Amino acid sequence: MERLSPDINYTAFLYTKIKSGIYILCLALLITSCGPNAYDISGGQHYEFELDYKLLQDSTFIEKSIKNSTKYIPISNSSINQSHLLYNAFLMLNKTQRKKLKNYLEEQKDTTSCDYKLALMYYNVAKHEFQNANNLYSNLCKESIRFSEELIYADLQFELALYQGNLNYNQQLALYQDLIDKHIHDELAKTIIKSRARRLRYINRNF
Amino acid sequence: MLTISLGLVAASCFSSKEVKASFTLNPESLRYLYDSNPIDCNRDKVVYFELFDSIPLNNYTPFNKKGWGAIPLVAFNLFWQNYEVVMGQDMAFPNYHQFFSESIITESQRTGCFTLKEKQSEHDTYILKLMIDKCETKSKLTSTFGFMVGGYTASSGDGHTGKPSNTELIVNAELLQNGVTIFEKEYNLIHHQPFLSKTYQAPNARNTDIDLKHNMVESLSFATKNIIENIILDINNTLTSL
Repeated sequence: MERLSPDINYTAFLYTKIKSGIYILCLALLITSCGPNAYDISGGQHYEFELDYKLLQDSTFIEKSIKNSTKYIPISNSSINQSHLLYNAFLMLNKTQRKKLKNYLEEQKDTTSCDYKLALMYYNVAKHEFQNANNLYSNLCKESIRFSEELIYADLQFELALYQGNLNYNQQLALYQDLIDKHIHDELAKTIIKSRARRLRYINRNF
Repeated sequence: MLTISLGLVAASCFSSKEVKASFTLNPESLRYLYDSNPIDCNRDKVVYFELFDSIPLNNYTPFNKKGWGAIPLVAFNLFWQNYEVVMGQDMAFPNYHQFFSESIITESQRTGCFTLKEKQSEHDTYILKLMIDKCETKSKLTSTFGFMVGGYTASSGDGHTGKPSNTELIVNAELLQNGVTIFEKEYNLIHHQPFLSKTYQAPNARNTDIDLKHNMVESLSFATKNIIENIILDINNTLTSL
């Protein structure tokens, strides 16, 4: 049988490929070693956004997200993050996807669980129907939530404000100042609030 | 071809103009959360304060070049330039003098057992003289640029690396009662401000610059907070011991 490419020097070809591979590896190692603190500077907002984007690739992400959120009820920090996922995802939904979500929520309307209410609240926020979200929030699992309900509320306002661009950093921080004064003797609440307030400085550039 | 490439490298790696613009284009807010527990006490005594040195920060943020390096291997090339960034007033708002005055008044309303007001006359009973002797926030920035040629392909990349900021703040406080010094102390604080996260990669060099700016302004804000809380505490102790 005749050889298809008799002129190719396979040894030289292989050598060139290996050499290129070594160059790439060296470059990657050098860039990494040059900056031990490189790019370590920002917070988790971008990460959440990235994750949402991945969720969007999955046609059943809404159901999955909402079902997953039940693990975190009563509301905890993890649940707040979960809600952020939902909220961020909602912002990226198109009309058809939102309709699908609404239908899903309608099916679940008899459910009294916090995650359904929370999901619906975020859905309203995503639609910029903030008043509805606010009313719903006021009835949201009051017994089981302590400071975190206010934290979620503040976060909602921040996220919405950032999205709409109508609150500056000082106004956002003033909102957190009110929160911290309400929980001034609760060290855990203070730590969480301070940590989230600190993130505010770094969030704005992501919008 | 190689000369052109090196020229491009030099232009992108060693020009600080664009880097500086990232830091000063949109000044960052000097603010922090007041998290001290408010004290309920008698605030009959009025202390009038005077803050000296109206420009404790430089007006402009200097970018001092602190060495450079290169690995020119024709096929693989890496260049970097180090900068020392010293925070200036143009990176932050409001004016630091104003920020310090407002912060100490607000903090005194939370934790001070006295009423703090700005000085009105030489005949005030209690006068607090505050002198900011040093206010310096520094960080390091490394700008890197590399390109590689392998076979028929070439690739290049650039990036910025920031180091966490350090603030050195020295404030001298002197409390006078009817012109007689009853308390004097120098507050010397070196504050190290870590980055927000160790697990995140900023998408590009400009975002790294902006995050580093946030870190520097944050560092000065927290250093000021720490010093102010200590000053208020010491004045409380001094006034109650009279």
